Amino acid sequence: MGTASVQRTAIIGFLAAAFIGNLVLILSQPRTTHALPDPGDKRAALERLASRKVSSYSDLTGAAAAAGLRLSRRFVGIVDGIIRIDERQVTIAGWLVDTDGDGTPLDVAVFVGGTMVGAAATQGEWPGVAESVRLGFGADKNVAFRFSFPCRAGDQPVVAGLGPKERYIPLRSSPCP
Amino acid sequence: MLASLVRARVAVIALFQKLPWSGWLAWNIFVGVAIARIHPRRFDSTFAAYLDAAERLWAGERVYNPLTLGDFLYFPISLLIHVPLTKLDPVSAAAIVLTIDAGFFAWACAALMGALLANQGRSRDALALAGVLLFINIPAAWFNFKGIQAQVPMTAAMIAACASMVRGRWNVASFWLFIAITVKPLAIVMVLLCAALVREMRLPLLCAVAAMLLLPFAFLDWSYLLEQYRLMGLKLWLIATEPPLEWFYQADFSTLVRALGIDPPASAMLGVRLAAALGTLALAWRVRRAGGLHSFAFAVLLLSGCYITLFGPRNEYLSFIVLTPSITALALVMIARADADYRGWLLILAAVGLGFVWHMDVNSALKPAIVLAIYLWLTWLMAVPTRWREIVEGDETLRAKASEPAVARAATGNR
Repeated sequence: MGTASVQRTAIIGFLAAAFIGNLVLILSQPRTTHALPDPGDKRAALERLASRKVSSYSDLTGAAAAAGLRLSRRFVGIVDGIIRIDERQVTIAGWLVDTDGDGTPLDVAVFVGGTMVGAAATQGEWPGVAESVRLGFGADKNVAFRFSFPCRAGDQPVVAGLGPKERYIPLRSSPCP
Repeated sequence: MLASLVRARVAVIALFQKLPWSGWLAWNIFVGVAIARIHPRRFDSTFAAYLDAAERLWAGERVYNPLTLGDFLYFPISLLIHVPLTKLDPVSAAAIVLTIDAGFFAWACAALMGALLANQGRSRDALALAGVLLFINIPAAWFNFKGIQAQVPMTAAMIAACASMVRGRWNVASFWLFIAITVKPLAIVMVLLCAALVREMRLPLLCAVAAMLLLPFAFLDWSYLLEQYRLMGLKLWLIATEPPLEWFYQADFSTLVRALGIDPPASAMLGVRLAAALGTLALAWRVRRAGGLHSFAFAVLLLSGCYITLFGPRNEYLSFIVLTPSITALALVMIARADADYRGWLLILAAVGLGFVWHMDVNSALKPAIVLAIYLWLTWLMAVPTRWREIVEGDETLRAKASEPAVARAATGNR
């Protein structure tokens, strides 16, 4: 087999591989576009997500995509704990930061049994976060969240942090006490 | 044991002689699979970060965070070329970039093999050997393709520059180096070596660096951009001075010395980096003085790859693709000349080993140790440049050149 033949095989092979690879990609993967699934929907990200049914953390991925949200790699946060305050209500506390942010408050939403049962904006500092995550540029100013929502003992709340540019992050939480 | 090694060697060579397109076939299948498997969860920490930073740059937001080690997002021009892609679906953008990167990388490797073998009467084999080179580099490319890493086009552009230098096409080589530093600033190592040693490339490279730094001012607010350059400088300083254990992915000279139980202060490491830079320059200068465009251009590419992977700011364990294609090319040149040259086979083994991801201890200690061994071997070869020329150009080529009249040598570019 001569040089020309190898050259032909290489070029045709590459073009075929690129074409088939792209075709398989198009057919097999859902779009993860920046654009909103419904461009006419002008509601805020939190409202769009609230209108979705979220019963588990795996539901959250689909619901967020359907609401036009993308997973953020800049957000960091934890649910520090959930405590029961009465027979019906619990209080959740934790922190959420945008590591490249400027202190603009972020939103935290909680779903129980498919529906959104509570939401709040981050407000104030949380001890030790600024040092451990190396925050600067005022990003440590509004990181703490604490709010109450209805939750029966043993129910699994699904917590999501939402921020600018249609980004979100799941915040793992234990079941309600 | 030796007999089985010989049998294996003969069998491998026979396979590629019988099916000279098999390397290309494997590479092309790999490219197709890599494109088909593109997924945001694979490129989330790399290509998605480029897009995110490009979006922030275009929106006039802060791009560089000098308080954290992650996300060193290259120069503003590197982000500027990503801005059009931010208007697309991220998966589509990734598919476009990966297709271009894979094609560019394959073309550059073919150009390098063609240039290296052109004067040895083996140009017919060059394309088939380029397929073998690509096949051997699949492990190294795999992890970079998954993340759509800028390391791939940077390496391709450096290789293309080397191929142009072999042919004495200095302006074209400078253009490729401009592309290399535009996509990833680590290529500055090769830019500096070429600027220091090749008079014809000095002005074009100066223009390339100036264009890289100044072009963004044509698109962005000046005061904003100056602030981003300041923050980028601070971040680069943090990356260069932070202890290696702070960065989980690091695999370079500093992680190697740590693995040996040595914990040198940052100033000592800076001294080692400077000494290595000067030593690298001295080696390339010796090869340049000895003549032979093939030997010189290839030496610059290999030395740049070794320096970047050992002494670059926070080389990661997946970043060895900047070196593996050139050591594979060297191995194939040696094996094409004498298939029993086990140094060539060891280099192939090294390229494969550097390409895979191993346990963290292996990544951070053994990989830099392999590069250091290659670096020291190259130092031994290039310290006496005829040794190096014999390896790259072969005895016959050297003898043929020696028998040419001096005027003819000058005319053929043996400067």
